[in-house]
Amino acid sequence: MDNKKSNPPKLAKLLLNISLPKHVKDEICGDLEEEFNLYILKEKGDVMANRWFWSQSLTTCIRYLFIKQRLLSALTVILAISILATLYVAITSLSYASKEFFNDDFWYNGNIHLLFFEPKFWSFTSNSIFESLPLMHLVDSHSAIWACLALLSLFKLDQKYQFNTLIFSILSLALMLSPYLYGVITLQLSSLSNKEVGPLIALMWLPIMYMILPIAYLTVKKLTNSNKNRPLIS
Amino acid sequence: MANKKSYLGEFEHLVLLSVMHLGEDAYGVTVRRHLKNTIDRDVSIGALYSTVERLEKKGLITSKKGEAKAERGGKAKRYFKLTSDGITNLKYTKDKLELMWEKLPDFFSMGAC
Repeated sequence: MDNKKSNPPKLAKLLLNISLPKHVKDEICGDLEEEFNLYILKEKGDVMANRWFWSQSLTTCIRYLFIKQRLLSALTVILAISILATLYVAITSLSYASKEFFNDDFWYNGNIHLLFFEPKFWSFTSNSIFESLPLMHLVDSHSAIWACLALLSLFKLDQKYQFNTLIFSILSLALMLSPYLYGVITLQLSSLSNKEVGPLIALMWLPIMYMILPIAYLTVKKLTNSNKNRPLIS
Repeated sequence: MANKKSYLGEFEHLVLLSVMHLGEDAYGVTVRRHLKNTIDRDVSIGALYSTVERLEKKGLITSKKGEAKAERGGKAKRYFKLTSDGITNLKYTKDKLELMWEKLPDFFSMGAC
């Protein structure tokens, strides 16, 4: 045994600090360090003790990184960003695509979701992903008003009724997709001209664009709080 | 009030017994070492804390922050303590297990396993 004092591997400690949730971070890090210093070093020696600390840290990190709440949060964020990016490209296509792009029936009969299954949309996407869209193309007063009212109502209702994550998500989706459904019904019931279809499609897509990030943020916050609301620390 | 119908899992049972045995000195390190030394069971610290959280939710134990020491890198301990519901639940589980074993009086002497 050498006399120099060994410490747990710094990188493993950093990993624990990054990946553990706040409510158990101090206890778990402290317990591992205490066990390392008081027992494992004496029982196993430096090299094996370091290996022990690494193995304990990794299994603990994996356990806490892959808990349901974190996976759901990550999935929510990825989904929100993907939808936002797809809609951005779709709106770019409305602004820049050639006339042939709009020949399909789905633009006029309400089945606009079919656009996202069209190869031409995805080839347009790869060409236009770095195309800068003037900010004004992303602004629509009706959509903005709807998004503001919907987010405000959602916030107020949540304050009053303290929805759980599932109810909150369902309500958010309903409010976010209402203009889209309105657009689909309008397109199916009436035959609109080219000039009328454009603003209606903007009303279908833009509220989703405006609302998706705040809703994703609130959902993740709710997921995190539902994990925190445990009577753990006295 | 803990619901007697929420039965203890095997590991929950072991953790509660460890906390009971360790008394005032029950925290992560001592519980883990008690399980290792007594029944040779290596428990990951993550599994222990997940179980403790669940037991606390069920109202079977409480926890409080303790002192921070240098050998812990200045981090505080969390001490666990059995609640009266925890003790009741342990006794209930012990009684039921004993009752089940009593139904098999000659199981081992008969060389059944």
